[in-house]
Amino acid sequence: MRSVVLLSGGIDPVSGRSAPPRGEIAAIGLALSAGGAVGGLHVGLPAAALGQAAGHGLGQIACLRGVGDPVAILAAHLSAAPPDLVLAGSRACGGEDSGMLPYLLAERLGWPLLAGVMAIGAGADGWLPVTIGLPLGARQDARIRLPCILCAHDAAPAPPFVFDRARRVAMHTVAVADAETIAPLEGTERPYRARPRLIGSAAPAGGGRVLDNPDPAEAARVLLDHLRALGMLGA
Amino acid sequence: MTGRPRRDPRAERARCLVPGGARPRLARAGRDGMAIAPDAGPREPVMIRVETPVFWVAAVVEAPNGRLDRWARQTLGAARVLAGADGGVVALLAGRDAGEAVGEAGADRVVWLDTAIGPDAMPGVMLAALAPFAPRHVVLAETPAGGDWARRLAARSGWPIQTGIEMLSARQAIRPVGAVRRERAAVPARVLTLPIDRVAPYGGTRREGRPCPPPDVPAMAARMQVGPVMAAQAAGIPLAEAPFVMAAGQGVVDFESFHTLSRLMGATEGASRVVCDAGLMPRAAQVGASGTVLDARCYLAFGIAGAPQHLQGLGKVEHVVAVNTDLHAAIVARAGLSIIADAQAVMPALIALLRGEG
Repeated sequence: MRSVVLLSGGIDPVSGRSAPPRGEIAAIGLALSAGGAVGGLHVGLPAAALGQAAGHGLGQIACLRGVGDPVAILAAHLSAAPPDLVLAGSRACGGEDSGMLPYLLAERLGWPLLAGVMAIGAGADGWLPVTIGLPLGARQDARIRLPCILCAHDAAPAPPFVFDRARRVAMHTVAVADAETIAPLEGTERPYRARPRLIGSAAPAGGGRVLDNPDPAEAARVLLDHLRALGMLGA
Repeated sequence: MTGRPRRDPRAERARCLVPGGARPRLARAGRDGMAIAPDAGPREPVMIRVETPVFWVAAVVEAPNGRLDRWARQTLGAARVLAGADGGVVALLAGRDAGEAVGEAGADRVVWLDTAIGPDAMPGVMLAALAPFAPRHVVLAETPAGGDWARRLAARSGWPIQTGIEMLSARQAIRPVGAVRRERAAVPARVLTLPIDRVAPYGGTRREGRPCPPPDVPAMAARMQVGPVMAAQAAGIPLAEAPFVMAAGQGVVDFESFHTLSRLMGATEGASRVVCDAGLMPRAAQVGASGTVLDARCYLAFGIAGAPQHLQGLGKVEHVVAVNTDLHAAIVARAGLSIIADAQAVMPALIALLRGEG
């Protein structure tokens, strides 16, 4: 199976230094667990964050040099020699950070897409079993037809960083045809201003019902009815 | 002596006193000295009905258990902000029927969506459901499922999308970009996703929430199969993420019953500092300032008085239930239901009741 990991040249949100987003490292881990050849793919000039991503297990990274919509450039490159699997993080870190690129790419290529992937199983008959991670530790098994695009869950296991691999990575630039230009973004950009979150939406219920010294059986019944009304117990 | 007549505060107060009610209520606003009509008793429930609004705003609401959570209500609140006075709000309800709660949360129409069709078919079904309304905006919660549907919808329809809106008004939406170091303010796009606790839920008069026929599911090639959700074992969920936490304090000595009860209820176990210090529960189970701050929906406290450092750990918990022998304990003031009894007596009664029900 041939896998391609989409890489963005991101920055660390705290320090502002170049670093790969957490989800892309997880995507490299998923690609390695699928077995076969794994390569990195980036649209733009080679960035420092790419070498760091390669330290987590990529032997080679192709940087596509073209002007225009990155989705169109990626779609043209991938449909010329389609891999079995395209992996991406949940969203980039340092650009528009909308997480739209894999979805637009899947729509353009006509491939299926699954997000929040925690683990990949062994593919057979053109289908790939995957495990999706949901909140509160819940899991969901799914099967997806190959070729497909998978977005890694941020909490999927990350392969360890090896400095030597980051140093030895073969980064080659591929000149590609220019694609259509993207529409300029609306609105104004400015430094981030932290706004307070709403408080009081989880207002303490203070001064609730008080049962003083009830019979234990009565207390148990009231307590279970209350928990059921809150929807905390199954029935 | 001036010519001004002397005030009689006692008589003024008596005139302002609204009759009825357990506590005295004074209505002073500009009506000092005027007679006030007595309260006409409980009023008829009022409901706003909208037949043909100028435009529609859609909100996709997740209600997997037939309940609207805080995030879902805030999503509908955001749709109401965008709808203003002229617009109507249509809720696409993904999950079980939530009854009147959707109307109370601000929806004029409700369209039910079947989530069992899987994420691949979702954008087609959403577009079919939205077609009769031609909404100006579609608001979704930035949950794992909601965020996924929003991006699929935007990619399929080609509608512009703004994700993670932190400040929303009818004219402007502000979202973080560039690794949350920059922000972009723009006119709200067609598709918007909303993080939790950014927009207040709708607090106005109840809306109709009229059910509309569900859309036809467009046929499409099966490209993926998604199985059922497998919930994690309550014991395996990290305390900070657990939705339902049951905690033991100094008032619990019968830990066997406590562990049995937590298994029967499907609750994650927590404990106060004293219990962890005594080695009766693992340190990882400690709730409070020096332990874990919870994000649970419900917290069931056995034998916990509620020291300030412990209550800090209850940060965002919506519902607290306390079983305690002390009526004046601090946790009783925080709890929605308090049972003043010995935990050792209540726990076996709960176990017997749960086992008796099967």
